[in-house]
Amino acid sequence: MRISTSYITQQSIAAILQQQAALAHTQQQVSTGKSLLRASDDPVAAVRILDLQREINLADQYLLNADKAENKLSVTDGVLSSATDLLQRIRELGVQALNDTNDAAARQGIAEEITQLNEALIGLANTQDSNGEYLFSGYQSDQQAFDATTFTYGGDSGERNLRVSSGYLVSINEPGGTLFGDGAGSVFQLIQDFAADISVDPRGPTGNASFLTNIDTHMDNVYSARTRVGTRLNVIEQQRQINESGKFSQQTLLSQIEDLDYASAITQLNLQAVGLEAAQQSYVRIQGLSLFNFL
Amino acid sequence: MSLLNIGTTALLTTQSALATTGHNISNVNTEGYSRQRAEQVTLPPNFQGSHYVGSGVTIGSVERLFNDFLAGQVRSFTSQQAQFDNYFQFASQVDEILSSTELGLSSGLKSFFAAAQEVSNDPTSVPARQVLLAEAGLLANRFNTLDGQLQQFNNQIDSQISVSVDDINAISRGIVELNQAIVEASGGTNATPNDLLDQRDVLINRLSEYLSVQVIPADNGAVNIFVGSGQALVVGISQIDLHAIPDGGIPPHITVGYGSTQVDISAQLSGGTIGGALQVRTEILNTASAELDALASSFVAAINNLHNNASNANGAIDLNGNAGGNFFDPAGVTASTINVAITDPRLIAASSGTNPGVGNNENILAISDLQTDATTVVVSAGPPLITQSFSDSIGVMVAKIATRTHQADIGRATQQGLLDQVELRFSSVSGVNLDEEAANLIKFQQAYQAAAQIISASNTVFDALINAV
Repeated sequence: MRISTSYITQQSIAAILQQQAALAHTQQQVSTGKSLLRASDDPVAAVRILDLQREINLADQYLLNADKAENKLSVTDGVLSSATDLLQRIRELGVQALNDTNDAAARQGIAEEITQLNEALIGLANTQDSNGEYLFSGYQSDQQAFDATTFTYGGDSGERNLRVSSGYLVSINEPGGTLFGDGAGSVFQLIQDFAADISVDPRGPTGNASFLTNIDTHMDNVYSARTRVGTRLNVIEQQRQINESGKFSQQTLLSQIEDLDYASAITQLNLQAVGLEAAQQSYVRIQGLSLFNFL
Repeated sequence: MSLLNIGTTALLTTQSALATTGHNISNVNTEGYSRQRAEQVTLPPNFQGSHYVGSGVTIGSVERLFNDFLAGQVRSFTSQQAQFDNYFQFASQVDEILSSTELGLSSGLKSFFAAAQEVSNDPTSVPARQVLLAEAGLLANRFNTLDGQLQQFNNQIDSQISVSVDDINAISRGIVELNQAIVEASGGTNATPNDLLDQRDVLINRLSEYLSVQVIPADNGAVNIFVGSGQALVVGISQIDLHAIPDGGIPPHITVGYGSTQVDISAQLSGGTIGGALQVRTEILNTASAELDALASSFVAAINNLHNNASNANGAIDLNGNAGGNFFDPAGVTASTINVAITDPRLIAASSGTNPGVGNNENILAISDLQTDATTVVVSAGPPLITQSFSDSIGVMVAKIATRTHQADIGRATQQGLLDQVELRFSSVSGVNLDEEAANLIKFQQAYQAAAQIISASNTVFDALINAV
């Protein structure tokens, strides 16, 4: 078939331009490290990438939430642990005070220590976190949990939940009302009354014999709160592991889809460079061929 | 007829052949030039009583080597290639901005919900609330920017159509003028004005880059040109204008009107850059714009529904203890108008109506959970009702545009391949090959030298006769 001279030129140049475009594409891939430069390069993979990125972002967010939740619960756990220690000491003192061998002065001393421990306990119940929020006020976290004299509970029963995985909300606080009781029914009132009684008479008018039973009930509340907090901390740890391993496998998958295989890309880059060079050289060679050279 | 005369016809004929070869060589790079060939024929012989003696040579005609069928194929593939190419140019830009991390909605949405989660972790923190407001503003801004970009592409298409229509009219006028010149030049003779025909074919090819055209030749040498479903652009020596007219939409866009009545013929037009522009407008720009609007409206509705105490069954209370209002401006339900209604971070209603308090995060938690809620965007009102999440909605939109862009890219490459094929075949008939012309040059040069020898021989013969006397 005869070929026109201008067609030869046109096609040679088109071939060179095409090679250059392919080379530029590979070069861009290498410089960005991504195999997909825009969604239309591979629409199916592009959507998969969006999905994976979303999953990874969510996992990151859940891990962050887990950190926050763990933080709050650890603080709560610490406070409850101190409260347990205080309550145990108060109970021991109570047992001691109820012993008939104590004289009035000794009971007076015990009563004073109990009163001080009770104040420390109220202080713990009114613990604020780094943001100034009361740990045990439920949703009313700007309100002091317990009044220092009336022991009235200023909070509510709200439990703040944080999302630590797609299917799991974890409560990060223990409402003080259920933990320590409210007003006249509070553990503080119980302890205050007991201290007042024993400074007068070990078997005072308010039925001090039942003090140990009553304080045990309150201590049980604190114990079970600690158990709940501990369980939640465990669950958070489990969820964190689930999120982390999920995130890892998603990142691996994302990298497989999105990231460039450098070895093959560089090979391709070399091949394309050779191809371009060949096209350029053959163009020059072909352009040199003309019958007019021999006229 | 004397030998001298025969020699002269040979000289003149070879001169024309050499001139034609020279014309071919000089036009090797002329766009649309078809090579020509001087057809040599013998002159009528002289009857000498008992026999005929030849009387030399002449040029019968100068032919233009041209194949109408291949020319038609070149035009048709040019139109299709131009359509795919123009479509791809716009589609790939939309594809790029929708899938970009800086402009795309996916990352904006992610940041918004991450900020909402932070508020749910720390509902009393005013800085966390401030971040949520800022992220909401940025997200609204992304919607606005994307819509603005799409609008800008639409404006580019408008001006492309306007300019194309003007150019088409100018080209049509050129074809009309050439029609006239060709009819006049070939009037009454068999001779064809080859170079005028080439010029006209160049114009028709240029027209086919804008639109698919139908070319119907008339007997007198003129051509009639039709577009769409038979709308004539050129009939003989008269021409009908196309017009850039508003399409009556909101906002209005430019479309193509025909003739003095300016009837909208865009639905009938196909091929070429105009065909591509009209197609990309409906398939890519309008689709993307409508889906962005739908997403913006679903988003505003879903967030406001929870954030507004009046519409939230569980109640919504802000940090000041007041009932929550709309988070986004309820009037801004399109991608271009979406905007955040509240400016004071304390007015974010993080608390529910049950045990309302500064530490209550129930409502903001519910708002955060919308991120993965698969019922937020209504795909089909049904029945059955089909819904999807915000992220899925974005994914579907990105995928749709990407797939169409990908298809256009493949189509463009395919059409380019086909166009290359027919151009090769077309140019193998019509194109100039310099080696061939060089060979012809030698051939005709030799013939010219031989013809000169005929003159010389006739001179010698004549001298012999003179000397004999």
